[in-house]
Amino acid sequence: MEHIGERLIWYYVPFTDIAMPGGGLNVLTVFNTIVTMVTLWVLFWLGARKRAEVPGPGQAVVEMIVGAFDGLVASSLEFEEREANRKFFPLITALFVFLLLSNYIGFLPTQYFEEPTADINTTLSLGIMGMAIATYCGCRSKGVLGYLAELCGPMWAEPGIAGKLSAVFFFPLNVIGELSKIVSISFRLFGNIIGGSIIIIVVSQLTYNLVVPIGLDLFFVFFVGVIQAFVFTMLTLTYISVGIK
Amino acid sequence: MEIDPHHIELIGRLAGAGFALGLGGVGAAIGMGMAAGSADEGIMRQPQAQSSMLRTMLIGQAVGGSPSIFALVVGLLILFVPAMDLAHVGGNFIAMLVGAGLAVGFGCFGSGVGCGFPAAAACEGLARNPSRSSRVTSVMVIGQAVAQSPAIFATVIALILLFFYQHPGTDWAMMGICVGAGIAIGAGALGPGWGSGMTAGGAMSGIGHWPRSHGVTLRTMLVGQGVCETPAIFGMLVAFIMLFAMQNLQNDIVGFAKAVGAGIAVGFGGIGPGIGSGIAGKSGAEATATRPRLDALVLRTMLIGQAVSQSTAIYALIIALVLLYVI
Amino acid sequence: MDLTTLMTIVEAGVGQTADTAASAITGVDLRTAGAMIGAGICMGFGAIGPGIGEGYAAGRACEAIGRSPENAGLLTRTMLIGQAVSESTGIYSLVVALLILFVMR
Repeated sequence: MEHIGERLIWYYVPFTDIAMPGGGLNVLTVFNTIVTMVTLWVLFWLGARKRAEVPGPGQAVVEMIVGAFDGLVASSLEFEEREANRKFFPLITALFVFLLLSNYIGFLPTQYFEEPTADINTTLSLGIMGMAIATYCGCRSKGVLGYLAELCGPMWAEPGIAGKLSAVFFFPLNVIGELSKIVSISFRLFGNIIGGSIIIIVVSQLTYNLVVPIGLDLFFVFFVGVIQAFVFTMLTLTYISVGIK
Repeated sequence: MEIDPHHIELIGRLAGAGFALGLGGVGAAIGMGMAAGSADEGIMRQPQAQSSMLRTMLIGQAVGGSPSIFALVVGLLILFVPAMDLAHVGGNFIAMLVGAGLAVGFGCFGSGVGCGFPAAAACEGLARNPSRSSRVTSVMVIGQAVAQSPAIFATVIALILLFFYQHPGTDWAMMGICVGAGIAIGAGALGPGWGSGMTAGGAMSGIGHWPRSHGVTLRTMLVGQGVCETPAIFGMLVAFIMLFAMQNLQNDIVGFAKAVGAGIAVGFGGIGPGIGSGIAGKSGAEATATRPRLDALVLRTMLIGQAVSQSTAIYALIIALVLLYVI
Repeated sequence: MDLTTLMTIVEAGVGQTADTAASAITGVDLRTAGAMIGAGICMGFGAIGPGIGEGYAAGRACEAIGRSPENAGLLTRTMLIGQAVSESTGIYSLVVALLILFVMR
């Protein structure tokens, strides 16, 4: 039980002045992130190696994932031409498969494999990345002034002094709203994954590692893992499409 | 003045078990009642589909009853968990039991009510469309399982308190941590459990009316439920911070007030956003089922609305972190 | 019975010597403690209303968009205005809680 607290103090708690080992670099997270990336690369390389007319099982799985996300991205962004939708498709698909495998890696029964998503630094950086891309796309499609005008609230464009005055109220609200998106999107994933792993640790200790934790593993790793990976991906996609429109 | 340690122990056990069983049973009772009521209506409308409706109702009630079973288990543990050091039982022990009781009581309340919505909607949908029984039942069980995860978080915090936080004596800081963590996860799980159940209920009534849009509706439901649970995650994070990373909390009444105040802020602050996101998710899932071709537009509106309604939960989290770290 | 007496009674029951600060709760301590719990109650209960209200607005907007998708922009804008207005009570709670914590304790 003690190492749970250690994990929290080491690299999670904001506002503390506790020195982080390795200068704030969590070796386990970096290692597991690299393992995830290499595994993904190998799997997709194997799946896409032989592009046959009648797909084998590996190719079928890869085609299924790619096809599902192609449709999802296209229906969310709703551009006229196919190519414009394809621009964000690699980002969204890669985000989903990366998060999925990261959430699943904790299932491997050694102490060296921990979910990279159970580290707030991973989820926070992914959340900041998503919001930065969304902001950039918003500025690209509407212009910087247009983007700022949108932050000034829905009544800014209307004529009259009242619309301009309402910006005093709406601008701070929208800026806080944009920042709170980062907090909520990254803390949701982080909290779910670390919550599941702590629950499994606690119940394993209480039941002396008997059968119960396997059922919890099935729920918290496989079910919650895929749902949360999908929620994170969908939210990033939604924020991007809101930024563009 | 001398007080028998047995009496102190008894105070804690009775107070904690009262919170756990009293609050924890209410939710599941309401939820099961909703399921039974709508199954009655359905049987009245379509008496020949009685057996499939009865089966769906019983499955829904069995799955939806598990929050109250969590509350029962933790309540019995509160009553009968062995005290490690009976000679030095004091305020810490009472606070630990009360914290565990608050956690599991409030936490299972919300999920219990929440699990009733999909069960009721499933029975209603079967009355309209009895041939879709297996699909409706499977989506209902998925929705209920997701709606129960806040209750599971609360149960685990209660178990951590019961088995790893039995400290002898009376310390302000330890009492504050126990009660604060219990309120943070308990009240924090109430709204999300409720709201997540409402989302599942909306999806179920949508699938009951328009069974063809089953796939997109399931997707909208899962995304909506995942977003609904954010306030519970905030509560759980604050509870974990208190339990595992607050060893240097000042040991006087101010430290006690800090921990309890942070727990109240993030716990009760999560009720509204949780239920509100649930209302948004309910309408979103229903609208998706009605017009499956608009799923992206509706999902986008639903997510924006949920994100805005959760900003108050983020304010509450900020106040809790300010209380714990800055002041 | 105030907190101090309760604490003394509990400690007497345990048979411990009251060596911590518990025995010497001053008025200032009580005031600070009250301010902290008060800030928690202020933000916690203050967040209930806006959360439910904004969710209600979002739900109605979803239904309306499902019915008339061609007005999606107008409906989203109206939803955001309504939510911003009902958000204001949450902001009041936040401001009052921060005032309690940083100014009035």
